[in-house]
Amino acid sequence: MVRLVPRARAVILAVALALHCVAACPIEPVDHGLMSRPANQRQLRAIAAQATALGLPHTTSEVEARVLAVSSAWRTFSDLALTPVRPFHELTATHQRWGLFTTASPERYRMYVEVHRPNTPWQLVYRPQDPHADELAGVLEYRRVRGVWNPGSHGIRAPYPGFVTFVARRLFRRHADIDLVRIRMEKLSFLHPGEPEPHTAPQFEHEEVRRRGDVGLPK
Amino acid sequence: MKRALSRWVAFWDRREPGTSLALIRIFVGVVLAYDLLAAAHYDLVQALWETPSRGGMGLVPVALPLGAKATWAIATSASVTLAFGLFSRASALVTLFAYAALAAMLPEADRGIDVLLRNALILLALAQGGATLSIDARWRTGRFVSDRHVPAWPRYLFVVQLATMYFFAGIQKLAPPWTSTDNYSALYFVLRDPHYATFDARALLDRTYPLLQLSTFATLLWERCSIALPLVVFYRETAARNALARLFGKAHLFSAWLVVGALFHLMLAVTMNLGIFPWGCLALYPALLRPVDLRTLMSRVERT
Repeated sequence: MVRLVPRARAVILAVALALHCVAACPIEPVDHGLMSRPANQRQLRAIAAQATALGLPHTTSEVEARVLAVSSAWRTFSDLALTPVRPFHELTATHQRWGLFTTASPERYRMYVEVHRPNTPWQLVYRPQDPHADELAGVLEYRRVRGVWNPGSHGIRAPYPGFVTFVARRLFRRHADIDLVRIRMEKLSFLHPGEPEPHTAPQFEHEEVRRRGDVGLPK
Repeated sequence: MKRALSRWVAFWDRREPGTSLALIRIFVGVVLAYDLLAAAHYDLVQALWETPSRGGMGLVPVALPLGAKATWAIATSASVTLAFGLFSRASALVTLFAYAALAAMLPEADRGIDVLLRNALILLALAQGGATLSIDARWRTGRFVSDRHVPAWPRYLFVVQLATMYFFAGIQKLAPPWTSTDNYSALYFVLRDPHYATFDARALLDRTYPLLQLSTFATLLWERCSIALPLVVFYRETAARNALARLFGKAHLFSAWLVVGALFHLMLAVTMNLGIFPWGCLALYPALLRPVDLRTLMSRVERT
């Protein structure tokens, strides 16, 4: 019995480590649509060129076909291997898929929170890194809240309208004289150092406006 | 083959003083409690974890069985008792399930660091992290500090967890700014993101662009080297004398990795507004140090 426990533990840990490795391997679903994005096409062309330089001639579409085939096969295998532990992962809300700043895209956003009073122009009350517009900065920059409003690589997140309602409610309660709250995202496109800046008007996306009545407050 | 299997069994059967695990327990508890208290400080408990009909931001229509405030209170209290080492294993388990329940209400507010900390809580529920530096130890031995030996395997699993996170984060960085295709410009763009960067330092970033390119490459290299971390730790723990172990030792690979990792997270804490992310990762770093290393470190600190 004394010798059995360490052996049983070693076996269990070996199985756990094997499953851990399978769970950790990236299994993001890849399809032709994703591969068609300009950045990914550029990457595929680079891989094809590198393979060709190594004496393994490949066209971009051949590389894409291989990526899709490997992704599909791996996904099937990992789905099967992880079936026994899936309920545990769901119960504990855990996984092993780690992607930290994987995109680092030069396409970014900057959020504007604005309020409106009757017969006056819109007033900016919050914008990141703006010391003159920092109302609710603590709340909005709390990491969990930012996780709701900060657009991801797939665009705006599903609870964004709920977030706008939440912010509007707070602002309406703070300021009795405002009648509208607007939140929108300025689209930014960063350039490399030294590249000339184009002088274009700011472009905004994901604009949402709330009235007092929209958030359950008296008009 | 039989010898290798015996070594495998013996490795996972090793015991050591519980100092490293106790430090992880304390740091994880403190980080979690701080973050949950911050949510309450900003009056966000209802907004983050209630249903939309009760003022929540999320889309889940079914309320938590105990309600958002009670679940938050349980998670917070359990993380505090975890830090103090009061019913350490039970505290880890309670924190884990309360924290997982909160995550389900608004998944967008649950970030990678939360998943990492829940994985840590699973290991803390299995480990004897309350063997020392805890109220549990005080009750058992009459002293807060105890030399009682505990199984070392949970600490080794923490090392595997860190290695996994960094390595797979590293190999997924395939977007052009992380590669030569776009001249390793990733950190330049990340540090310009107004939603994450602590301050607008465009002029400084422009001037230090080559350094940022080098840092991007160094980040990738460091993350991808993490795959070797469990092996390096294994050689350190077992004082192995084979050629690879000697090579790792001579190259000071372990020390270099540890210092770069700590600096990396401290730099993130200064330059980016990432909340508990750097501190949550650093909370697991005591796993990389043997209790004997911690004792050496402490005596050096005392001498100075």
